[in-house]
Amino acid sequence: MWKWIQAFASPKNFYQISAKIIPWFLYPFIGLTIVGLYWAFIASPADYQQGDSVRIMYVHVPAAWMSLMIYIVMAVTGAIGLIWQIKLADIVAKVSAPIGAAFTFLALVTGAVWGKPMWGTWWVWDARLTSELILLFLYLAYISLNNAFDNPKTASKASAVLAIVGLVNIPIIYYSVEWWNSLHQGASIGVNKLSMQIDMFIALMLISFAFKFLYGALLLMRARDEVLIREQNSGWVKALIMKGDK
Amino acid sequence: MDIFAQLAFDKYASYIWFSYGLTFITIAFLFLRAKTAHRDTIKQLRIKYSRDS
Repeated sequence: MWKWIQAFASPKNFYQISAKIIPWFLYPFIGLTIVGLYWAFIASPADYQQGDSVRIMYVHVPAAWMSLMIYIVMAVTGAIGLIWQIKLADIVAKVSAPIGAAFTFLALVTGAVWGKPMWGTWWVWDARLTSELILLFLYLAYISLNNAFDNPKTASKASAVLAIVGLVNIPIIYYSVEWWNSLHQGASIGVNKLSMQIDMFIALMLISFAFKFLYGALLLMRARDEVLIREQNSGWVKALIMKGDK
Repeated sequence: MDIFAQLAFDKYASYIWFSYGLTFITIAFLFLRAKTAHRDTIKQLRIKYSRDS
C-alpha cells in the first residue's frame, strides 16, 4: 500500500494515472446529482414549518460541509508538504483552495437566500454565519498568499502555515450553534440522532456524495495542470507535450 | 401527481430556483475553468518547447 502511494505521489505517475481516474469521479457525480435532484424536488416532502423553502437545504448543507472538508484537506496536505516535502501534497493543497472557496461562497449565498423567507433577513452577524464568512476570507487569503511568490516552494510553505493556523476556525464553525445563541438551527444529523424525515435525509446524502465526487474530479483535473506547470523543465513533460498527449 | 405544479414551489420558487441555478453556474464555472486552464497550459508549453528547440 505504502509503495503504491509513493509511486502515485511521483508527479509523472500521478499525471498518467489521474487521467484514468477522473471518469470514476465524474460519472458517479452526474448519476448522484440526477437521482439527488429527483429526491430533492419530487420525492422529499415540504417541511411542516418551512414549507418548500426547506429544499434549499439540499444544496446549502452539502456546500457548507464541503467548505469545511476541503479546508481540512488543504491544511492537512499543506502540513504534509511542509513536513515531508511531498510535491504532490503541496499541489493538492493549492488546487483545493479555489474549489473550497467556491463551495464556501455557495454555502453563504444559499444560506442568505434561505434566511430571507425564514428569518426575514438576508444576513445577521451571528456566530455561525460570521465564522463561515471568515472561512471564505481564509480561502481568499490562502489563494492570494500562494500567488504572491514566484517560487512555488516558498509559496507552498507560507500558505501551508496560514492554512494550519486557520484550522482553528473549523471547530468554531461546527460548534458555534452550541456555544452561542444563534438564529441558525443546530445540527439535524449526528451520532444516533436524525431529526428529519428519511426522504429528506436521502436527498441530503445523495447531493452530499455528488459534491464529494465533484471535488475529487475537479481536484484531479486542476492538479494535473499544476503538475505540468511545476514539472515543465522535466524531460517527461516535454516528451508528452511534443507527442501531442493531453 | 402533477410534477410541474409541484416544481412551482409555492411562494418560495424564486428563492429555490435561484439557489439551484447559482449552484449549477458555480459548478459549471469550476469545471470549465479546470478544462480551459489545462488546455491553455498545454498550448503555452508547446509554444515554449517549439521556441527552445
